[in-house]
Amino acid sequence: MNRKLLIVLLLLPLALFGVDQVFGSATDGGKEKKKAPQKAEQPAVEAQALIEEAAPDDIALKESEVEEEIVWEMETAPEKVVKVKGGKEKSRKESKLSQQEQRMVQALRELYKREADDFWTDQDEELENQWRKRKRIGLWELSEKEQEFVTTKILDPIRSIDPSEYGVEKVMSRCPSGYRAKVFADSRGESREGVVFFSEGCMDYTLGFFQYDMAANRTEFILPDDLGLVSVEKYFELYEIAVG
Amino acid sequence: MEKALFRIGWGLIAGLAAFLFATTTIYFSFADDINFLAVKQEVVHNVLWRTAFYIHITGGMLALLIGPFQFIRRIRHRRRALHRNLGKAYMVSILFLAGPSGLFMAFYAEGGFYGALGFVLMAVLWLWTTFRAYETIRRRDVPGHIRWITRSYALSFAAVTLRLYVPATTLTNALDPEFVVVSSAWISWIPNLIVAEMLLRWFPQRL
Repeated sequence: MNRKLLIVLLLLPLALFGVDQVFGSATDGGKEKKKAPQKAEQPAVEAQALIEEAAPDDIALKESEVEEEIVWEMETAPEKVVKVKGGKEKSRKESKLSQQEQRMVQALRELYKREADDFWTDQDEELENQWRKRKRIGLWELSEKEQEFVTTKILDPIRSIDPSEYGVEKVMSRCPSGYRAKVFADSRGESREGVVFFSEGCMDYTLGFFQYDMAANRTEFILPDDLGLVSVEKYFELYEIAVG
Repeated sequence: MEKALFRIGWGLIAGLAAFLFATTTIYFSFADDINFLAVKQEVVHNVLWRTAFYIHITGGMLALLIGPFQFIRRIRHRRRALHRNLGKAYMVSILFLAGPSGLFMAFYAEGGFYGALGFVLMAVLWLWTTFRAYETIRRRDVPGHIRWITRSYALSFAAVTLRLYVPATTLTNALDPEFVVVSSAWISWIPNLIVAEMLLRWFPQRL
């Protein structure tokens, strides 16, 4: 092996890349190039933003692009992705719950089902308006104190409960599995709201919505269907029963 | 003390490399929507890219796993044939498999121009350092070979560093994921090379 061969080894990938750029359609395996799902957050918001930013003449074209993207996402949406701790014990636990708690479990079951089955379909307009269309900001955009508060009061308890029971082997990845949170940008004042989701394989799945008040040192999870607020521990206790 | 630290370090490197080797086998299910492939849907059906991907992970897994054994002095001195054969496998896996395919894939990297540039540069340096390691040992320049192979493995180990850096920053919500995507193309290998240079400068007798 000499330096000439090394040069060939260096130039070959560049040449192949050039070939792929020029004759791309010939090398795509007969399938159309599809858009990457990226992070699975707020497809409807992105679609709306695209339409709003566009000039009137562009709208028809952009709408079709967005539709194409949503259709593809629907096709590739996983049937069931968030694994949860299961077992016979949970059905026993459920029968011991009060009526109110059983309603909470049912509401969480529906939230989970929406996440697992039709997250992408945008059919649930009410939920869309309530939660998904709100702009989210990452924790890195919050003050250090607030970041720490959300981490220790919301994320750490969830991590210790680990409702999705992912394996450690899934953490060391370019798409690491784990729990993450974002805060709604429009929630200001004493109480702020946010969303916590489970990331798996480069996709995010909503686990629930929370609100917190740093001054009062209060954190709670918001139950769907206006069923009120519960502690992090209670929320995931019910969540496990709901989807176990 | 120094010896013990080096043993711990070696164990950590070998352990992480073996762990990554084991977790990467998931891709041999050939499903097109798992982990990394889930975000590469734009190119996952491109025959060239997909072929390069499997060549890259095969070569990379081999190099990552073989590497630590080449640093065991006992094997180098007492089992020369084994060291030589493993070394040949390491060189082939990088120079003919993982390196060129990695360079090809780098052009499609996430993170735009700077993301791609980081991975392209890493791939070129990976091929160069491995080639230099080959060249030096052919000339029987053992100290030179040790220097270049250490640099080469530091770049091979970028696969591990990348998979430590990304979860450490995204799961702790410490950094904007978009910044993580671009910076990972650089942070995955530059610190490795710095550590390799520090080891070569301060502890050459241990390598």
